[in-house]
Amino acid sequence: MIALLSNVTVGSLALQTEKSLGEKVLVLPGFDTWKAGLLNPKSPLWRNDVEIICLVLHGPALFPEGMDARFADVLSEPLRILSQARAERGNKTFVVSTLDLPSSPALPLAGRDFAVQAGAWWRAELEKMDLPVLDLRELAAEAGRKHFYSAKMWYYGALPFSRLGENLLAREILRVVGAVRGGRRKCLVLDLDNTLWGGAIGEEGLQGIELSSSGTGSRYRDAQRVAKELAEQGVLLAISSKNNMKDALAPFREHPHMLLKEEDFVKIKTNWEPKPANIAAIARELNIGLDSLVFIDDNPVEREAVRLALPEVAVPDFPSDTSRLPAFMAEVARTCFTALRVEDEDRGKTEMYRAESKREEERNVHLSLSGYLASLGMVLDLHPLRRDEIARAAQLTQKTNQFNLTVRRYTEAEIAAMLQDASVRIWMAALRDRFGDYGRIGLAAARLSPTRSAVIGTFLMSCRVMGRGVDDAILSGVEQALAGEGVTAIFGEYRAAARNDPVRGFWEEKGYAQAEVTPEGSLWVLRAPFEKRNTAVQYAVQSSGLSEEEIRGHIK
Amino acid sequence: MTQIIDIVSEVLGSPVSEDSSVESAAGWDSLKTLQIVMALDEAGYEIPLEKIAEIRSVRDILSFVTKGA
Repeated sequence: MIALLSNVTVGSLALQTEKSLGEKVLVLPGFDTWKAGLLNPKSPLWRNDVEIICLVLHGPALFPEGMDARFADVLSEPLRILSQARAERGNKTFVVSTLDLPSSPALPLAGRDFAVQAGAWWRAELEKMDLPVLDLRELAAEAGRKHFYSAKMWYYGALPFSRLGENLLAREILRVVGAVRGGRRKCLVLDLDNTLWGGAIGEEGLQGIELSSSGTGSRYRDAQRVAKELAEQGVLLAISSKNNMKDALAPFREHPHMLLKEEDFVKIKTNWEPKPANIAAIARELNIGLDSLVFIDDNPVEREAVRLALPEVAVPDFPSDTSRLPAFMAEVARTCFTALRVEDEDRGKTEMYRAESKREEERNVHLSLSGYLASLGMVLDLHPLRRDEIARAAQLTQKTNQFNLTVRRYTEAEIAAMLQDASVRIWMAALRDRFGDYGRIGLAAARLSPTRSAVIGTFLMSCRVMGRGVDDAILSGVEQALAGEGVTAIFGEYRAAARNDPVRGFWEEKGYAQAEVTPEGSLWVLRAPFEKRNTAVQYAVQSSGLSEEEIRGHIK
Repeated sequence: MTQIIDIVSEVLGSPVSEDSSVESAAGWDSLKTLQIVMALDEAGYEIPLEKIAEIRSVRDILSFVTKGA
């Protein structure tokens, strides 16, 4: 559930948000009670079912006396309250709005504008706190204050926004909630002709297509820029185009104004097969679900074919006026690809997928699987989860669908709470080989019980490294670590979910015996001694960082 | 007039007629009145600030509304 806090009336905004979100929104009773609500230990905000606390601030209302050079003094108080609440309530996600502050009408043409400075100062402080932001200022700028606000509602009911303003805010809240819950898609599949450039490359040739750094052809270049920026933030790009390969690649290799390059794409499908077949192949080869794809094509027939054949793929309508193309791409970026924050692994993703292709080539050289795996020189780093890795850990639980034994999704706040729990162990696994660094690709969590047993309630791995013995290395490392803490029986959980069928037989393959059939799946057990598992992956077990005594304290 | 009634119906979430009032229409509270005024505003129908508190029925709305510029 989300809670909506504000320094103005938000009853109406809460109703709009409930409508667009399709779930109940918590609002504190009374006017401007948000500070009291955050300070009160008995506030309904701290109920277990509240996961996201969203603070929408009407900037001008923070300055009833008007604004002067001391704006930072005024704004420091809400910041202090926020950071204290966040420190105490690690299991909640806080989202805070930017401030939209109109300049004083008495502002001379030359002079300091405190309104602008205060807005920038606030934003910078939120950034320092690493808080997810609801960009109210941008919404107001985009819509225009005249349309975003309503003086009548403000004077009548301390409600600053117009209906348009409320609708835009509700939509933005929906987007932020989606990002917090990890609903981001993964791959953008693009058509070429009349999508990345104007005209058909196969007919008009390199000189004939429309694409330039200024003038009318720059609408395509500006659209490409959005795709390029998404790729830099970890979105995978792919191409599905009815062209022959040579024609299709010519602009990428030779056109001076192409922003996107061949190496920005992880899959390029240029052929005359039906597009749904190509798009399904892209998903399969990348090992991601169809519901992780977005497809953009100017041709309504292709769009309809994909919608019908692959309903999980998002297929946004293409603008009929191509001057709107960059704005359309920006909207797709916002609705389908908003990330809460971007991790190092995201940035290097395209490169990782391309390194993968090189490994494929290597596989063809080595005839046996074991020879191939040995040739990769894989090294696994398995270590207890560090505090600075919480964001990545949450991201892994939210994004991993196939090699995920229990598919338990956790927010950052929940992972932080687990780290505080003395009976829980969490391990992060990072992998590299001689072709490159995969980054942090696996996560396991176990709960110890006083009976010298442990239950592995989370065990997941990025599907990019499936089939290489990495799972054996992670499991073995976890088993050795648990054995080191005196555990004599390890239980492995399996819970069936939409896409984790590939690991249904996991525990049995690893030598675990079925202990129980649960309503959601099954529970398996392996008893000491725990042998080190045979795998092509080199790995070392790092200790949990607890002393012998602390360990004995947990297991009696 | 039908457009105004449509807007009121949409905000209240159920169809209303000219005779509907705060007493007769389900869920019509002061928050809904506020939302009705906002929705009318967006469609270009203005109700003066002074009149909002007096709204008790659809008939009131029809008599208070002025077509905005």
